[in-house]
Amino acid sequence: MKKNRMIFKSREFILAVFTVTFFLIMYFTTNFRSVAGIQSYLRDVAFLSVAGVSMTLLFLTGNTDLSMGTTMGLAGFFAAYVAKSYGTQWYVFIPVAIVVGIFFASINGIIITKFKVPAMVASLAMMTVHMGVFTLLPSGGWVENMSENFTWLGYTNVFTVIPVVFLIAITVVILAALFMKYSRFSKKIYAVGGNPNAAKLAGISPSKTVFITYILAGGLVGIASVLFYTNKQMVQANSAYGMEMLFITATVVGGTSVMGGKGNIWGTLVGAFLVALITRAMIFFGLQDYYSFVFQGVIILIAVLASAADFKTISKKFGRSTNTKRGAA
Amino acid sequence: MKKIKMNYQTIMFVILILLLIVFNAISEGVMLKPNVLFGLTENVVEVGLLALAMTFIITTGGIDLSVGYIMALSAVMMGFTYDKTQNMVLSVAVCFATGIICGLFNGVIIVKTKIPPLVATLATFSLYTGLAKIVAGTNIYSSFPKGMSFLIKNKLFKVVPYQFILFLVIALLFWYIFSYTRLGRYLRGIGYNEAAIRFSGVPVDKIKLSIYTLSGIMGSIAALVYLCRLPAAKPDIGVNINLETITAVVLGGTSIVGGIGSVSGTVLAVLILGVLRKGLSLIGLGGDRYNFILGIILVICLIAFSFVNGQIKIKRKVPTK
Repeated sequence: MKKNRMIFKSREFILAVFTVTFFLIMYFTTNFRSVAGIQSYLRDVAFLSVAGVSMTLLFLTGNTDLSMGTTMGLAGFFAAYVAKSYGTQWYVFIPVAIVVGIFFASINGIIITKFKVPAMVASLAMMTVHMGVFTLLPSGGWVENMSENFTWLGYTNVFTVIPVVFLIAITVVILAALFMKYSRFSKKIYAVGGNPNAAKLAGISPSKTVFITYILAGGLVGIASVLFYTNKQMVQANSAYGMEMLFITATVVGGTSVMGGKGNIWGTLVGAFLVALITRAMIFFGLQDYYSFVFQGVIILIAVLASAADFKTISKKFGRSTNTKRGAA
Repeated sequence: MKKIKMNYQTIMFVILILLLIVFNAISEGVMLKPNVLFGLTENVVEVGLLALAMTFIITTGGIDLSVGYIMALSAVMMGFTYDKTQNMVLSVAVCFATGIICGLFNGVIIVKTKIPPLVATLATFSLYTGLAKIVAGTNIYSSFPKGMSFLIKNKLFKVVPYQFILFLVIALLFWYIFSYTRLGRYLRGIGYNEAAIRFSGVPVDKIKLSIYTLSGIMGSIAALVYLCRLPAAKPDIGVNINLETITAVVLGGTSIVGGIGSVSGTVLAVLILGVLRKGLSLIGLGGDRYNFILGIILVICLIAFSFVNGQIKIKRKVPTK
């Protein structure tokens, strides 16, 4: 039907336009233009998008995970430790990161599904538990003087401008999007997030679905941790503390509903581009990181408000047919 | 012998006494020395004040993640005002105003838009901590008048800190409201089944607005108490307190999904956590370990309570959230 009009009026497209405009402004007015500038921006986008996808999956089931930053730190630490101590290559430490990510995420998953603890509080508690684990780690969660076998992944670029990590991230995101579009499991995710009761009546087990989602999310966090840490000489487990706020912002800006059941990967990808851009912009304009807090807060509020807004209102505004049978957003 | 009512509060009281005994033994008698024993109540007061308001909020099924940061912002605003005007009265007024405005802002967002309290306070805490950092920059406001630190110097009977008395008085007030007034029942009703309560004619929105504002006010009071104890206002005061507050409320028997709550439980829990913190520091396991244990306690409590709640058939609108 009016599918073409729909694409242009969809939320993701508007966001994308906004991001591109912002990007162009940045590009021509600051020294963002340099090769290094673009590279570091794309590196930011890389880990942000993969972690954002992870958070999106959880959001879609109606859960939140405030411990994602610390989980990423743990996964990164173990990958770095293995890389440093045993001199292993990427095909060893990347799986290590993924396994660690899955391990900690599944603990959250068990607490939430088996013990019916609300996700937010459970993840808040697990965040402190993770930080406690940091203190138990060898040398307090620090691995220093990372060598070639680890850092090449972070420093290598393709076509001069595009970092390898960005390519990896895009691949992962595309795979995730395809998974969400074509697999049967993704339908279960949306069902459980939208209405767990109905899903249960339809024969879907919410606990199983949520638990598997946590495993997937954990694996993605593991990948994200590799993307984040490989360009650093020194890996600290606690340097990703608080990052889950960024992931949440990217997810929410991308249109995923906090209540679950609504949202998609592409939105999160655009959200990641935008959030990384804003963060970089603020650094370039000399605003210290405290402004970013205010900004984050405002962005989250606006984004959530926008998704909570009535579907009909948005349709009316943009001239779509208000087919009320579609129901509220 | 009259039968002592066996309920959760009694168990908590027993745990409190047990902890005191155990730590006393481990620390070779230091724990029960009057100045140590009452000394630990100093730290307890800030968490306690916040936890009282948080009890109300969590009982309604909501949460306030921004309360620690409201405290920090109030403290910073107060420091900033005093720094610029040297006027104590104005500074205190600003402190309270900050708390009220922030709490009100939270409340308005939660009530007027359909944003869940979790996300709303997640967003507002970023806002408040950002504001605190912007206002303070890298300053630490510590030039308060001499009178402010009198709390450190004077205690009732040389031993009991005044702020603890304040806390007990306020706690008594909260307890009374929660257990013996209609408002208290309404709070539990909102957590139990908000739609039904709303249809019964209870002004749910007004109540919600007031409890979040109350949380903000408690943040200001806690900030004042904190500054009297440690006259240094900087933006990161509130970071750990959130977790401690929520843990205290959950430990105290308030259900995180709402409907069940206990102020007396919260008070006891706050005391238990205070004893735990002091005891651990006496053995030499300092701040970080305490946080870690706090996290584990929270997880255990949450799991334990879900078992308890599971046996009580509480019909919820959406089970697996």
